[in-house]
Amino acid sequence: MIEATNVCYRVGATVILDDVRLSIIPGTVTAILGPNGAGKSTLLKCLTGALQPETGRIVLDGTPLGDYSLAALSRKRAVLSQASFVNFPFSVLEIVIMGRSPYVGSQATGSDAVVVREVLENVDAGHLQQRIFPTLSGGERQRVHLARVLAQVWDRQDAYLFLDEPTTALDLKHQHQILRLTRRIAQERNMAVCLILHDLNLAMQYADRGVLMQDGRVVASGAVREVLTPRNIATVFEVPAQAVFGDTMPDGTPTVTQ
Amino acid sequence: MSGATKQVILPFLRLRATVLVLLGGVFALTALAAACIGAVSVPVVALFDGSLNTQQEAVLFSIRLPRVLLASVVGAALAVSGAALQGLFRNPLADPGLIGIASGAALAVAVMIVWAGPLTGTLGLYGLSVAAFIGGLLACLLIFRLARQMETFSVTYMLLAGIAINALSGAGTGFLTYLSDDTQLRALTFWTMGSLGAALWPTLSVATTLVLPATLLLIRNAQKLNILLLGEDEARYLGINSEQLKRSVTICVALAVGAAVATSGIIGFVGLVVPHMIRLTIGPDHRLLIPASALLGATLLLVADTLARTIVSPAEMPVGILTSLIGGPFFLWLLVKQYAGRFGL
Repeated sequence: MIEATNVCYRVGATVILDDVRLSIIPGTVTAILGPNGAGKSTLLKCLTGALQPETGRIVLDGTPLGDYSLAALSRKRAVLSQASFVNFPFSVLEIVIMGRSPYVGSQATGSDAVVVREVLENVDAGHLQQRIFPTLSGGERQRVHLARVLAQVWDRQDAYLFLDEPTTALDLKHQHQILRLTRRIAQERNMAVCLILHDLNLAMQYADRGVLMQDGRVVASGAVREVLTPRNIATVFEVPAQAVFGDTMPDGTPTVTQ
Repeated sequence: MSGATKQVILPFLRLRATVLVLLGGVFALTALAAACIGAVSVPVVALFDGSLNTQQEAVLFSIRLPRVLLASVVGAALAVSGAALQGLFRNPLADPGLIGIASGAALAVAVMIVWAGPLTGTLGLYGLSVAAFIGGLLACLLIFRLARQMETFSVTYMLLAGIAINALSGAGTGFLTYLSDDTQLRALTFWTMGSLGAALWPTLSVATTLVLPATLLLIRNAQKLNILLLGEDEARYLGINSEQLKRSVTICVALAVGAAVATSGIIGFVGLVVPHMIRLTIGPDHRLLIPASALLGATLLLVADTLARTIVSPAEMPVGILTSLIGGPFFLWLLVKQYAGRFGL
């Protein structure tokens, strides 16, 4: 479990995160939600250890985040960043194998090969294996990066997975496929998945918990259906309150419409 | 063994062995040929049956051999530095000459020559090498600072920063040229054009003792450099201390370039052309790219230097002119063919 308390982060005089408090729980999918510039990515970077918060405590499985070595962290959590470009003509397979580097140093082993095959199939990129990465489309690249990130924690239990807008470049089918996958691995491997989403309907469908942010503060957190109330959405996203909730989906999930 | 292992790991090891043996063989043959060709020609057979006459022996051991070996070491140093810099800047157009590291090193050497007088002997050469190392390092750090301020460091920006650093170093070197006397002037001209004509055994040992450890350290960091290509944050997420890696690679590059510049002046484009040829034909993996670049760089500079000292024989042209003559058009071709519309150019 990750517990963050009183996390503040500033750039110059601008407050990016203000007294943020939240927990990331193993076996669940937590969606960080909020308008542009709410501080979602900064919060994610603090939780992964990429940024040091100015004040506050972030504790990962009972140990302060700062006490982990980079190597120990790399075997405990994986992170998909928002934009990551690769200029060099690596093959897809080579990129994904890099995700196994925390375990093997420079040589991949037989079990790594199994992991690599499984993650590629799970993100529907098995057929791209031999392709040269920079020649792929945006969505294909995003899926391959996701496969690399998954490879890093695929054979772990109780690991942490952070995804910053994992569905932006994906088509409808793959958006659902990827989010279904995160939900499944969260349950099967007791993984804590924390992702930033802009599509509230996807959050409603696939996340267990929601953290709603505005201007660097957490406005609401808890079960996603209790967080994404018409009233909360209306205040945070500044859209008319009455028109927010539409029909329910066949399984009873409420949908958000304008 | 499962699919991916068969598809990636084994072929990679086999490929690496094949490529390195092949390039090593080509290099050995080139070195043999270069040792035999020249104003005093040495028959290949005589090398092996010991029938060299005194003149041939003198030329071979005190002039040609050190020069052949120095050309190899400098060529390897430049090519390896280019490959490592391209990984470091995540940018396939980085080259010690283009982005100003070599000219920074040359400026430092010029300062040493004008202030401290002509330095000779092994110690003097180390002095020049250290100065060149510091000059190159400063240029590197300047580029890093600029990069940090810009968040993302586009090709355009890097090349423009290189132009500025080259111009500044050029102005500095020019000013020193203006101040210098006849002896200093000759020495300065030598650095700016690039030549292996000063090769003697001490030169070779200075260059080798700096270039070899730097290259080995770069090869050791090869897999980390691969991962750094994903981005600094991504590398950190994968357990790599990117800051430390960048520091260590920068120091290795500055050392190798410093040694190359101190012993042979500015020789352009080897660092750009060689890694590109390897990447285009074999692939971008640094575990193969760096050692292969070393061998190919050594071979190419050896060919260039042999041409430089034979085509206008008995005079010789500075080899830097020759490499620029080949490298310049290659660079233009790269800009037009490979990178038009990609990579933010």
